[in-house]
Amino acid sequence: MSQRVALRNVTKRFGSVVALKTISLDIEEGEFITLLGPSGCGKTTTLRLIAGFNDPDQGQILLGDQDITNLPPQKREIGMVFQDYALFPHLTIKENIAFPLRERRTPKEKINDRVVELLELVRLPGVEERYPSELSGGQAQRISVARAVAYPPRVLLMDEPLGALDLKLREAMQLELRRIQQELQITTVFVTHDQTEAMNMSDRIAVMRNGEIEQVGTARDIYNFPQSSFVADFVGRINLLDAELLGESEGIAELRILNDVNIRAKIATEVQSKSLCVGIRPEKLAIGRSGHKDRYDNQIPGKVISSTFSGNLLDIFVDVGADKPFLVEQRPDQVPLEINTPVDVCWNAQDALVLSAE
Amino acid sequence: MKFVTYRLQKLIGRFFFGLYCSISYIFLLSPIVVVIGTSLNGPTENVEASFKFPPESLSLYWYTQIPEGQIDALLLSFVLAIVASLCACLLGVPAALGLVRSNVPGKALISAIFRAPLQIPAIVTGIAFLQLFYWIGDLTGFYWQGSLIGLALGHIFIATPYVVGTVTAILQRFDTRLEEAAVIHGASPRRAFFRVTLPVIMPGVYAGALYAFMVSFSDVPVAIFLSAPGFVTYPVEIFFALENDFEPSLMASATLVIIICLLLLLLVQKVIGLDALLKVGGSRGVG
Repeated sequence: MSQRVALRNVTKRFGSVVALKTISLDIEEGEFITLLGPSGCGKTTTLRLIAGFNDPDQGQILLGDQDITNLPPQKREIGMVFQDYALFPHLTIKENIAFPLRERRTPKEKINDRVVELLELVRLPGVEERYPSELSGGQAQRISVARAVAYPPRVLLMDEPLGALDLKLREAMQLELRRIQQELQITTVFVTHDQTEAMNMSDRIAVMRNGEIEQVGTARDIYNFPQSSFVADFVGRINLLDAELLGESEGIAELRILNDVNIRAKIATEVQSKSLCVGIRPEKLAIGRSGHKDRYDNQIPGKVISSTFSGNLLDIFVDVGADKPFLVEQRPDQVPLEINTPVDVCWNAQDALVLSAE
Repeated sequence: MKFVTYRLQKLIGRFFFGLYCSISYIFLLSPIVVVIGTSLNGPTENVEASFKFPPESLSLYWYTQIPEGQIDALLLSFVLAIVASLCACLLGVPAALGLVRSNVPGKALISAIFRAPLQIPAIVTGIAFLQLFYWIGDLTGFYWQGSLIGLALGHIFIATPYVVGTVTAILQRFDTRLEEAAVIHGASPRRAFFRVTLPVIMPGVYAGALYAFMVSFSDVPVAIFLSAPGFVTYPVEIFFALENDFEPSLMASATLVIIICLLLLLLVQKVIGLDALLKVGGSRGVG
């Protein structure tokens, strides 16, 4: 039943506000794709267009080979998991899960078997006769998933379904949702603003911003080869510095940062923008006592501002003369540096990315 | 020592709280107690002596003296209140839906029109309907005053705002994603309304219907204009009885009505649950 989804030049305006600027996206059959972005980036609008709650102003939405742009939601055969679950409060769990089946006139005996099967799938057997108000957040979420896949949907949509759960439960549910998705081999579009969640669960991620898709790729692609400083900054942590291009050879650029420091960085993706910046992930940075010459390609001097211990990491903030302090991730077992210690921050050209600036 | 004073403070606090509650209960219940008590007086030489409270002798004598007209009027009032509250729901629920959901221009004005019957003194409403019915009667030859239709129209007019009010309140808190969830999972918008929206807002509808019932059942100023001899609602009948032949059987019939109303409330409690009525908007209170 699972099918591919395609958005073709889809535009959506709300009054004078442009929510989506001509986006196109192909989602493969059985793929788990996440729309990732800050609030207001258009990710939820995209989901609602696929669901049919809103109509695009221009463009087409395809499901399998069918153009569903003008099909009402109830005829699209889509399953959806909502942010606050949206379980029907006046119906029992069984009636909630059976809802999509009853609306499609499935025979009674079949419904009963299917409900039992679905409760096993979401690992919550025996709650048939309870009401939604009697469930915990995590349980309600599982029931919401069971309802969404009850009548096998052509595509499953999820709108920030884990937002209301606490961290531990959220991590457990990420694995659960992924397991269910894999078990059913169901095309899934997931919306979140949480990059960790996106990276944990997705086959591919589409990073969105201001109604446009900035980059689509696997978690690895997006983390290692971001195509813009926005993507680099939104997915994971990164130190960004404005840079001026001096020259390039064999994929390595010569750049000038902070007015007088020359560095070298890898050109990983095509950069068109005139204004550039260079980005270095905090785990790629090393820190050394000032004046200590090292085997790294680049080094800039600075002063330690603060360090925070978070269990598995030691975050050190170093003032290198840029607008924002540099963040350096270190192993927590290292001897913490005193505040105001003069240090050198070092990295290899391979680990620095040349990016188009904002 | 500190501990003791704290305990003492709590005791004093509890005492005054209890006192306050008792006074409230006495205030609310005393009229009812007086009516019931007075109705239990036995027959006396002169009627005045039968209005003693507390009663001097216990008897059900006056219950046998309730005039038949009052029983007929009571039946009419029940039928009328049921018709009026049902019709108020049929008008009020769609009106509330429109007021909450749609973006029609002049929404504030429409909402004011639906509230208007609350702001017009009922006596004016009564006169207005009488005038209207004369006018319609002169045009068509059918005079509606003194008929069930006429009374019902008047009562629907004064009762509908209550339904609009309670249903609007519950709809404003209704999560429209429930409707989206219904539609995306295969329900047509019509099915989504009847399977999801309506059941979830039902406590608001019940509460509105109950208000509407009570408004119709206890109305005098509108009904007094629209009644006709032999076709009189219970409160109007009682009103006339008070003026003309005031005797303790009135207390007996009032007591009967109190008991019937209590039984009805118990029934409502059993079937729907009073909590659902009291906290309109508790969308999780159903079931």
